[in-house]
Amino acid sequence: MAHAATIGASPAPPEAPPDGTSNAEAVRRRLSKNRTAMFGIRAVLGLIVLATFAPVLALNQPFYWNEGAGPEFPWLRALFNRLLFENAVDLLFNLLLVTAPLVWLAARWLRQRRQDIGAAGAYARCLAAVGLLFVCVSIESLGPLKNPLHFTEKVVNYRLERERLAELGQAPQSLFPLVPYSYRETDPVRGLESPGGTHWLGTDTEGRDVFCRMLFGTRISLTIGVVAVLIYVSIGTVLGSLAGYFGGWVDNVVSRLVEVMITFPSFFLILTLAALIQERSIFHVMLIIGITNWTSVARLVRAEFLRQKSLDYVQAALAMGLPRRRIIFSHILPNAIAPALVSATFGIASAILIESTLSFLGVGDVSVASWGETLNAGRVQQKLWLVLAPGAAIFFVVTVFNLVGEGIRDALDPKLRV
Amino acid sequence: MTDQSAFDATELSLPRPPAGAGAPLLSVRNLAVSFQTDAGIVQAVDGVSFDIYPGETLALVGESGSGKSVTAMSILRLIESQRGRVQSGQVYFEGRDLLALSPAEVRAVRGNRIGMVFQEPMSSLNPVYTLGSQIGEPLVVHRGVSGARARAEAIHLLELVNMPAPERRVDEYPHQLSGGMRQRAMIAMALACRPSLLIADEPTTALDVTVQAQILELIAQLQAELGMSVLMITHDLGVVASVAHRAIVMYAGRVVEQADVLGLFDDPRHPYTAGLFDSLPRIDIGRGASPRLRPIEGSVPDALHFPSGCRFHPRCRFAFEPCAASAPQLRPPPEVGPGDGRLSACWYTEQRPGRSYLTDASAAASPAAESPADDAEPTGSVS
Repeated sequence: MAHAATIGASPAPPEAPPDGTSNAEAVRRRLSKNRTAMFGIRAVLGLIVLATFAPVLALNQPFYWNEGAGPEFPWLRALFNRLLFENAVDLLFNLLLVTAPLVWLAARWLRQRRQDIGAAGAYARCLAAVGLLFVCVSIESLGPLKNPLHFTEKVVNYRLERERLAELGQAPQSLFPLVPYSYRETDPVRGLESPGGTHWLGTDTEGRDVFCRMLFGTRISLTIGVVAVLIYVSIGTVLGSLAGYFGGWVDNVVSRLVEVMITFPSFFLILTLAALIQERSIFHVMLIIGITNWTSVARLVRAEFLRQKSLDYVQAALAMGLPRRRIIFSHILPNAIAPALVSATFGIASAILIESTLSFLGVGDVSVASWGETLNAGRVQQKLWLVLAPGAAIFFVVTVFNLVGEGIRDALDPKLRV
Repeated sequence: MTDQSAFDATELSLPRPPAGAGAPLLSVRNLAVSFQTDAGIVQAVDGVSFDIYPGETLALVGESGSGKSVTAMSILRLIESQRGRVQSGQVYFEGRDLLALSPAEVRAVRGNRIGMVFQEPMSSLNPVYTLGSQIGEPLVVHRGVSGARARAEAIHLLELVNMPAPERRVDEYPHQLSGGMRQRAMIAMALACRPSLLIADEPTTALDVTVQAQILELIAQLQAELGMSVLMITHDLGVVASVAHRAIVMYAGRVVEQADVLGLFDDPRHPYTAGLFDSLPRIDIGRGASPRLRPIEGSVPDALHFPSGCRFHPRCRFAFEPCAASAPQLRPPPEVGPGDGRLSACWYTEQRPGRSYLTDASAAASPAAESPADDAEPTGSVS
């Protein structure tokens, strides 16, 4: 009996993936068993959908408008009107919104045609196409060719228009989004209004609808997190790879650079850099977060490279006559990137937090709907709802990304702890 | 079948050069490789020269630390990535000195004209890629073949190395294969561009015995089919006997003997080679009074402090005055003459021509001749 108990208590051997699965699939399976991580992933996907579909929920432009002179569709035009959505982040998400059905269909078609890439691969390819389209949309003109999606048009506030016409007794036929306000629409008369029927989460100092700002703030936060992390993961990965692979003076230069970077208290460095820029846009903030945070990724990747480069498959790749670039980036890197990916997922959460902090301190981009800015307004005005709404949003997003990060970390290697 | 043909090839192998072989495919001349370590400079390979002819299998035999792997790695200049330094020498391959080429030119030879198979099949494949993409990669890199064609060719190569169910295996990952299958995949990868020379660095050491035999058979079969040359690095005389046409014996970074396999096994011309055979259990001689195994006394010298003269002399039963004084040259033994392709580096062989070590060793093993010595030195085995 005692023997049986001892044997039963001995640790199970590491789970070998069943036949026909890659390591990536084994990771995916472990991840899908982790309920908190799956909640995190679903929440992140939900946030992305929410950010994309924000104008469907809240905009002062009607989907359908008819004051007797025939039907109009101002909402669709408004999505690419540079006077209403001047920020590139909004443009990107609006483009995503318009192309969402196309992306869905294209991904389904791609999955059927190429079985080997899987759902994630199919969506990644389609979204990359949207990204390319975004670059095209952002370009104002190419020589004589004017970009039809790049236009500025006087913004008509259709909600006010409807109220005006209704007073005259000529109410138009119209269909508005659920919340007929825009996140930049100010109303000096209705500043600091408490939450209620018209403004669900109240209004801020300038009379802007807080619910709208929270909703569009999701776009800013997600973009900040992803872009800033992409910037620093790219820098860190390239420098870490080169340092780890070549060693010698390359390693020396990179390692000393890392040491110099980490001697600065990172947040004050970010604050100083942000304060130095005169006209801050949200992209400056991303860039600043990106160039100050690459050190940890570089160190992780470098350490993995040091371990991996002495393994036999690297020798074999050399003996096959593969170019060094290919050995470093397509043979060693996929084996060395896991710890950096885990740190990147946590990095998204911290980048969002940093951006909110900068906006809270007044060194963010004032033209965007940043949660931190609303939070600061609440602190200054001593209004509870102005603090609670952005506070809860920041808390939720950061928690959710941390859950995903922990899930990925545990799934990649149950023994790994960053 | 294949096993039989490999055996026949051994039986019929001719002294150098093999009939109709013409010019050598690969010529190594005076290769010297050193490593800088904390303790000092280690001279891993010192003045090694040999030729490989088209279509032959040359075995490079020696114990751990004899410099055989370093020699093999130096041919493709892979030793540079392991902090080794080629001090001198030339490696002529297809009319060019590989050691004088630019890194890009060497890269064009690696995996393309010269394939290489390593000792550890478990870790020599990249865990994140399927077999198909790894086997096809040399084709993509060297021949500019498209991905789809590389995959089709990978299936064909897997068939060539007798991988079961190649259409299925091509999309599998290394962790789904056994050691023997991985080694087959490695061989397929090395052969992707149909190289004229395959360097196999102890390809069977990490495999279990039955799989070893299969892999050796496969290499012999592929060599006959594709007409390539094989440089087989091994410490296993059994491997030498089963696949090689000629063999080179290395000791402490130097070549001590070169001979065709039949000659080497029948009549070794260097005391070290003779000692290796004496320390092998044999079932074919000494019926009845089977001789005791005679190990080579002592151990391999420290690479930082090699003995003077012949590096084997402190362990050699036949050592006499000149051995410690100066290093013997690799020369044809006097009674054999230069035409035979036999070479040995031994003062004793040069001065006492015609003595056969194996006979001598057998005599020594008989109780009458040297039994006191045997009693005085109980066999402390050297593995």
